[in-house]
Amino acid sequence: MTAQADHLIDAGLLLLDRQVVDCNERQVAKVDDLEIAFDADGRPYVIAILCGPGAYGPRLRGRIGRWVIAIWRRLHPAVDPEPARIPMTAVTKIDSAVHLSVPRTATAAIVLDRWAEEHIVARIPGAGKGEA
Amino acid sequence: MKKLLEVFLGVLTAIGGFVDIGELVANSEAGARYGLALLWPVLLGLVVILLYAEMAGRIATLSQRPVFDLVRERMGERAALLNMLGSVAVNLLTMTAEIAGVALSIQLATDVSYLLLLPLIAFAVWLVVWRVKFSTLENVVGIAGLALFVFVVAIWKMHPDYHTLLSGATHPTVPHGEGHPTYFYWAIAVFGGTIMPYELFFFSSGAVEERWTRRDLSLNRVNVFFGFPVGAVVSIAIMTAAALVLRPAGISVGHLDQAALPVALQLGKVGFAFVLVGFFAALFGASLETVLSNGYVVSQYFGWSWGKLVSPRRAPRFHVVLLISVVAATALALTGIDPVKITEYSIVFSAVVLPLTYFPVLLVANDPTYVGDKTNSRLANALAVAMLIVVTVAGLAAIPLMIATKGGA
Repeated sequence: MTAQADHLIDAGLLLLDRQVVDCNERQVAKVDDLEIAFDADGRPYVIAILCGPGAYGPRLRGRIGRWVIAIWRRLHPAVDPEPARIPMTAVTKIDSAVHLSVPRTATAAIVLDRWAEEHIVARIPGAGKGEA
Repeated sequence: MKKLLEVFLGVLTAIGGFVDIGELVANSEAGARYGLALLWPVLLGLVVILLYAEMAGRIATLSQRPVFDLVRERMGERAALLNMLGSVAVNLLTMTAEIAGVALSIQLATDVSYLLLLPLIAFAVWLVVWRVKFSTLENVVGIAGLALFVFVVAIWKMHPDYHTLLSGATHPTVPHGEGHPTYFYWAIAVFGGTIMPYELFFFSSGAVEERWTRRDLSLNRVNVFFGFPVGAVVSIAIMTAAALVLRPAGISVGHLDQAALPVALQLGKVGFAFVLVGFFAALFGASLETVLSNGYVVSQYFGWSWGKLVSPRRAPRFHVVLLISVVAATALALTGIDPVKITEYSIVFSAVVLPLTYFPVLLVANDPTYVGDKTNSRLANALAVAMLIVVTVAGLAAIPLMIATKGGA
């Protein structure tokens, strides 16, 4: 038995498309894709959760998938954007959701939430308090 | 005592929330046209919604996962995307009809054209989902919706021959000069009106957000198994009233006021006032629920933060969806498009998209990772599978029948 054997799961069934929630049970993102690496014996393991349009687009495939990627690349401030990434070290538990040890504000997955907040929602009166 | 009040309010809200524009239009039309020969789709729809709302509520309580989380997770991003787009489209049609219905019920009381009222009502709906403390309003609207029990009173006052009514319901026949396809088209409309998709989205998301726990499982059962059947009584009363009054007079329902006619004729101005309050409350409540459901469906599909109990800045994309939905539905209603026709389309398309939502709910209700030891009983599974087949058949038949009968004409 290796160390990894304790963490053996069917990633396609138990990880992909699950809801990611932060340490306060607030929604962060969906597991849109996974970053896989290989250990010394050549066995694959998950090192990060990928989320947002950059990870979702390629999985959607087809023309709609290409559009999602194209729009995401065009609107993203970086020249060669990478999908938002949450390292597996931040994951504490996987059950009906993927639980993180950090608050959602500490992840890269909420960039678009921030954009919508700053440019649209916060400008309407009565939008309430934002997150720290 | 507080617990008892909570149960009581929950049941009242379930009763009030059960009836919306779908029932008002489809049941009145079906009653006016077929008598009680289309009572069975109401009962069938009731069984479906009882089973699936209980499952969705149980899953939400035990795993904190609302319905569209399950859809995305069990169907993958592509099939779930299709379901999401379909559900949003149906929701938008429903929302348009509900908002127009609110405006029409004020028009009936004030004679101000509903087109002028629409922007005001849309703004009120948006303001509530944006800012107002929701549970209070939900209860107020739910209780005011009970005014629709005036339909039951009106029927009782008519002293109908209950024996004839019952045999009309238990021995459904297609009247002379009416084709079978049209009859079954209306059966699907009545069925779809009873089980509109937003009801499940709204119910399960509410359970997640109010943080129901294992202790609330009995509350879930009571709300569903008591509230919904009592709601169905109102729904059946609307159909019966139409069967007793509109059918002999040869009136077909083309406007919302014709749905109110049986009560107005029997109980006069007071009865009419009750109907208007009931229409207004039920439709306003349903407008809120459909708007929120669009936010739930989209946010839960993409994994965004959502909720009516957190401030808008903490669920910004959810609120952008709500805003766009209200604007889109209002714009559609302002074109002057016939609200009754919109309702008919939305209830028939409800039947088309529902199987894609029910299937994942049924799967997860049997998955111990979500519900622990509270998986479905064998009986529940057998019934749920049977009902899923019924919903699927209705969904597959809906569009061909719509085309073949030219929308039930």
